[in-house]
Amino acid sequence: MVVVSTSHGVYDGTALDLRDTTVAAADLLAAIRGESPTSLDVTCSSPTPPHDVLGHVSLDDAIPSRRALLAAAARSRGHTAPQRPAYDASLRKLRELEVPTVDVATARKRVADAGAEEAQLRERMATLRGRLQARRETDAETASVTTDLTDTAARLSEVETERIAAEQALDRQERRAADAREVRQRRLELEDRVANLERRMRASLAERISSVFDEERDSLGSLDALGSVEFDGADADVSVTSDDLLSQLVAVRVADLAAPVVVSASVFTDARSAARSLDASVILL
Amino acid sequence: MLLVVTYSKAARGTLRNVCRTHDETVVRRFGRAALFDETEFGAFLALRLREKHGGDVQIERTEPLNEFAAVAADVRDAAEAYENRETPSTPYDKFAAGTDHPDPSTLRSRDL
Repeated sequence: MVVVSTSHGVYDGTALDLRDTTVAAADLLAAIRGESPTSLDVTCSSPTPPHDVLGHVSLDDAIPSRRALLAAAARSRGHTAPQRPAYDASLRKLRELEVPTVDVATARKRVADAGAEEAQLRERMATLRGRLQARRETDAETASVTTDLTDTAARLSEVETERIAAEQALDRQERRAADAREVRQRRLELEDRVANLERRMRASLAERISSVFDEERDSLGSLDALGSVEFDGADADVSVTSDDLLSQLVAVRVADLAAPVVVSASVFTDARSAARSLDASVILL
Repeated sequence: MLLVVTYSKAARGTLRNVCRTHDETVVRRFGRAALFDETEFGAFLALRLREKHGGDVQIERTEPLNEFAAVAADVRDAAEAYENRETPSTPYDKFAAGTDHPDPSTLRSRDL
């Protein structure tokens, strides 16, 4: 039993027709899934995870792959994939990984700045030495150049010390960054493993249900309305074929979904026939 | 050359796209790493990756190894002798024992 309260009135039953209302599919799905507060109030059985994949029959969204649809249907019927424990363990490890934050850029900048100043001071030293030499050769006064040279040498020594310290600090940060990359490497491996297990879980779940799916496909395939559906989604990027749509309808029919399915594709003439064809609670939009 | 190594799926994806778009600057691509030309454009591409993906992108500047300038003669000799050994199954530590060739732990403790 599903109850939907909208500004247009209250609808209840297992096959609701809301096509005359202005209710948006996204709001309705959010209300069913209890995701965000909407203007709608929906009372129904709580959706299970497969509802995310199968809960909306629409021509405006990309339809998940046949394998994803079948896997969701199989999960809704209580099938579990043999890879599930390994998947859960990998996912847990992945969530536990923490990559330490290392700021190497500041250390690099410090080395570059100190190096640049050091080079500048060395150049200045060479110039001053040349000038001093020239003044000595011409017996000119050398005191001011000597003072300049002494000051520059002192400054150079400071900057040299700073450059060495900066280089050591950079070495330390580089080592910490290298350690952090070990964690990143591990994270990437785990991500790949999780993705691989996800694919294998989908494949094995889909396999479990494919013969039932094929049988049901034959019974739904004769649905007259499928022939008259306009396969031009509102979104130009999405191209839905009648085959995709049929796969989705069959997956919903095969699935065991407690929460209502929102059908915004104009495939069915009325809510009752939709509920019957899909073997589920249905809300037509 | 600039060696760019990525450490996340997102960074790997961006590197793939960059390599596809700029094959004139990409010297070589290996899975989730690549070598870029050592030009300002190569640096620009590498820095864009780092800007987008932070620590998930490692950038190293590489140079060819001149073994005659950077590697001690005993190491070069050892490599040459070991690759020309008579019994292929002899591991290097056995091969080096009792000869003038440096043992593996010595080699590991010496920086280039």
